[in-house]
Amino acid sequence: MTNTLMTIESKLTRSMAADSLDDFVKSRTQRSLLLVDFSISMARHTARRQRKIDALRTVVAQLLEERPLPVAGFGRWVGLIEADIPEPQGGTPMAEAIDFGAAQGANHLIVVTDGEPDNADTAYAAAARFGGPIDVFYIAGGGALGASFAEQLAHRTGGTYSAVDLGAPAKQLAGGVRKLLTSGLDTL
Amino acid sequence: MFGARPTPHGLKLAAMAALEDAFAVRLGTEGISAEARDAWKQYQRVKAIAFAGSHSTSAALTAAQQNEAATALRLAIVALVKLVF
Repeated sequence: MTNTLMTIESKLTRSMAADSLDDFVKSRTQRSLLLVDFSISMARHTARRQRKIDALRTVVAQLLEERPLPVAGFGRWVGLIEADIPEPQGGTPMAEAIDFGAAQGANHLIVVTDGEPDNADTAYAAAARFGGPIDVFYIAGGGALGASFAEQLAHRTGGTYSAVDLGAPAKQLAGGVRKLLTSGLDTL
Repeated sequence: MFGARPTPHGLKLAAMAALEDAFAVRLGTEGISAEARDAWKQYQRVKAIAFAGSHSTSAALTAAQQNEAATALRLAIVALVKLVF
């Protein structure tokens, strides 16, 4: 059996297992974009004495080995990441990142961030314009204000909020992201 | 040069998957009606029969079981076409 046929059969089998028609529709129409923070604070170290950016790179590489997944980054600039996540630089332009995701055609964002946005109000406004769920993974140790913003962003958009420890094995964050992804119709 | 040779069964499954995608997109745009839910349940039942015997290269399936699965696959695809168009 060819890989293509196996993929098709797998897709058809998964749709049989969907809990509801709503879940099926969501699974086939969700276009997810992973938005990762590469602001300057990501140069700090985790409890395992590994830079947060390097731990994040490990997680993203693991996810990409399993399935195609569009990834964009925000820091000194906002844009699609074709190779490695850039070296930490710049602030946290969350509003621009959300608008970028919308412009790319995403209807679901998964944000991984460790800090406060450059401007929380403009970020909330961008989220409202986006209109879809934004799931947020907040990297522990970033501070109470950042955590509060991340939680609010998820809550306001119908997404989920999780605090993760990049000092823990990569599977914690990878597993969390994996659960949020569905087969979708296609990649961006 | 040409990749894997397509088979009728494989192409039917590809059509089924594409029709499911079209159905999902339609519902994502128009919303999910009660009729769509009922029709989906019926389609899932028939599809389950089709897939119970879908690995039809297995020698363990009788000819009757293979025929039942093939018929169910045809009915499932017809049902999907009605859902989509």
